Amino acid sequence: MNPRLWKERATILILYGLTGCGCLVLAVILTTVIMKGAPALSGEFLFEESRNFGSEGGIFYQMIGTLILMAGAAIVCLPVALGSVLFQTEFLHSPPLKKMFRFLIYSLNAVPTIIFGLIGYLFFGVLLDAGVSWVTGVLILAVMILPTLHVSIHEAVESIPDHYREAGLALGLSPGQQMRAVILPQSMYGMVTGTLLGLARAAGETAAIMFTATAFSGVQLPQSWTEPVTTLQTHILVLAQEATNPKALTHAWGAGLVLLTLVFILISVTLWIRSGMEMEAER
Amino acid sequence: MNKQPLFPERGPAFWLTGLAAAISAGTIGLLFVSLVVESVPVFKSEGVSFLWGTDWFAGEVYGALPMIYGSLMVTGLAVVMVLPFALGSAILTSEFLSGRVRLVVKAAMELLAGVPGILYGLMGIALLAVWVRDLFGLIDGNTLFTAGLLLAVMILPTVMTLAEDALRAVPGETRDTALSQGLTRMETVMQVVVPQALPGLAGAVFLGLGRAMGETIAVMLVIGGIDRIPQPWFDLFASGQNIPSKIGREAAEALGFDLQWSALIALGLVLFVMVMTLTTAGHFLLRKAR
Amino acid sequence: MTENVYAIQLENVRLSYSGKAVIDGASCAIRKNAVTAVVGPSGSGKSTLLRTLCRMNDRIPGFRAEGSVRVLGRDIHDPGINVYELRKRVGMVFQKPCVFPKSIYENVVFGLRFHASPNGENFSERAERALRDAFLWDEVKDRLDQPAHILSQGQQQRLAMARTLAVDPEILLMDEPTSALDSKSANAIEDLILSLKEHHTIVLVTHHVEQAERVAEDLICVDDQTVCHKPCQYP
Repeated sequence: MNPRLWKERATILILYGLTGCGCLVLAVILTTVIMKGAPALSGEFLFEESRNFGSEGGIFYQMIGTLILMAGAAIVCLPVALGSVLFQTEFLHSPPLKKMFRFLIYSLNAVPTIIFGLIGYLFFGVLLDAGVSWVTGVLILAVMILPTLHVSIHEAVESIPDHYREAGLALGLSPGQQMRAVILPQSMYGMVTGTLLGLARAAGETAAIMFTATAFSGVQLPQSWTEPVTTLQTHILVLAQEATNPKALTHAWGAGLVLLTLVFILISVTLWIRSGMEMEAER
Repeated sequence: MNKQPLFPERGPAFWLTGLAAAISAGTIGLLFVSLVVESVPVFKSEGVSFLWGTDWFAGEVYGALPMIYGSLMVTGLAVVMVLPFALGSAILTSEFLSGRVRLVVKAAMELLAGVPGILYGLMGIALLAVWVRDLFGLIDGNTLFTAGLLLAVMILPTVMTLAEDALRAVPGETRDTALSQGLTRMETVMQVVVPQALPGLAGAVFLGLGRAMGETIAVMLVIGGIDRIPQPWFDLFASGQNIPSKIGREAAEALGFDLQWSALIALGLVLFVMVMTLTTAGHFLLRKAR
Repeated sequence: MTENVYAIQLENVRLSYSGKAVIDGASCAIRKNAVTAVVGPSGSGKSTLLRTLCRMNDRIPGFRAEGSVRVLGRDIHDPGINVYELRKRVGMVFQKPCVFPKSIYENVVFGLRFHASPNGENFSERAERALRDAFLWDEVKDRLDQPAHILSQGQQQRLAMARTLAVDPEILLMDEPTSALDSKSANAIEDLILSLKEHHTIVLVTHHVEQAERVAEDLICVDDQTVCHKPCQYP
């Protein structure tokens, strides 16, 4: 056989092998979480509070805690992200200032999450006197997901066709009216996908909240601003590190499965919306 | 006569969005400033030996070298292990698979890139560390190698998607030209497409490196948590420590204002500088590739 | 005196992008309640000139306008001018019909919503008047709540005109409004232009000399950075 063709086939085979290995590893991860987590799932597991150091009961308040933190972060972050995008695109006309703003957002994206925990605690925990509390956690996560929302919304606003903007301008709309009538409706999907991705990021984050917002046991719903919550992420963390009871480890996997499902739903919806938008754009 | 002021229109919309922009810019600025300011005390007390010192005993002496070593080692290890798989599957997906399969693969990768770090950590501590221990006959499976391997798995989706984007960015005419010269498809890819996509591929790897270096929770659970450089220094099957893991372990007990807190923030500063260098390089290369 | 005759007066106007002049030393005047056509080779700056009249070029980085541009008796680059009020009084229709992804009715009242005085003006009445003025009413009166995308290109362009007319401008600027349309739709737009000049001052950029001759009383030629009134050397 032609040695060139032989070499060609061999290389493609190697590529398939490498890809196969990669896929296999990732498939193993998913099946492991599902196989190990599924036995823990039950009505009791989902709707009761955790007892006896996580080896009995369920993860009800952990789920609530994760939801509180991620939803709070998105609620705090969205108006700030939206406002700063609009300021940047509609009012900031000087290219160097625009560039600087973009650089700030990009560098925020590069900050390791543990650093948000450190500095965030310093400001929200110590200076705002919130201590180790859900408020501290919400604010830290809000800063952490700012780049995610910002980039997503910015892309959507930038991709609004120029003729829409000009049609609005030519009718004599002021910038505020232009935002309400043209820019916000046209960039809605960027806000939605950005927020969903931000929620997913916040739900999956552990390092930034483990010593700033959460406690392991004896926590239910926060009754005041300065109380900690308990979350799925930190629950898994503690059980994984310290569990000697195999039942507790099973609960860790169960909590992991719930968390993974939550994150996957958020990302899938994002992908679905985005692919819908792409099809619309192609038409 | 037609000189425009910097901000010509000042309605409520201007002030509202301006406030939001000021909040975000101010928060980011404060974050960076306090990262520097808060780490000053430890540099004052330890001098540059903070960076070179090999001993870290809270309350006595703070030397960050073992953690810096651990971070570099684990990240380097991860990238060496991830490269063949990420690049191989990127080339296969972008050059040889049909459009629909490609979309499915990309979607799967985006899902996987979102798997929370804590799940990798759980897997690492419950499975991977045990496997490593048994496979290599170690006493303790929590080693630098384990951490590197876990990180490689974690960044695989990120590096693969970015690398695939870089390959797709090479225009189709380039491929057609090479094919019309009688090159095989694989030769086209290797001789023409990959060299042209090289900056983008490098950018993808750098961004993956940045992500690996900053990852905390998964590494913390499997690295062993011992603040020393192994003897000999290339012994990957020894326990170690990297910067995020060190911060994560000690932050809760150091919450406050003493020197240990400052030392942890200084560690954070060092980490940030390293990660920032990698991601800036990555973004620069990606932009150059476009 | 002259301001009763002329709606727009340019004196020694220089328009430039990043220092590169598109139009230099232009002086001309445009009569009220008449159709003025602006002709010239492509790339000569016709559109730039037209867009300057309602300050649409403000948002283009590096654009600069010097000299005196007086519209409806006021220098539009005066710092005291309200640019949004200016654009309301000086409407503009673009080359490519642009409708928003909303219903036909919502498209007509799009600008009106922001300019109508709060004392309860009747939107639907004004929308109907605008659509009638744009010769579109009979075609769409039964389907006002349907998405505007279903209209043909020619109808979309008339919808864009109705949207502009709804805010009651005194001057209408049109930037090659028929060039994206087939000849039948183009004729409809030309008829529309003739009917509108009774109450509006119309400035029309076109590259069809025949069209200019059909609808315009006055002609302005733009070529080689200069602007001149008829007679025109444009081939």
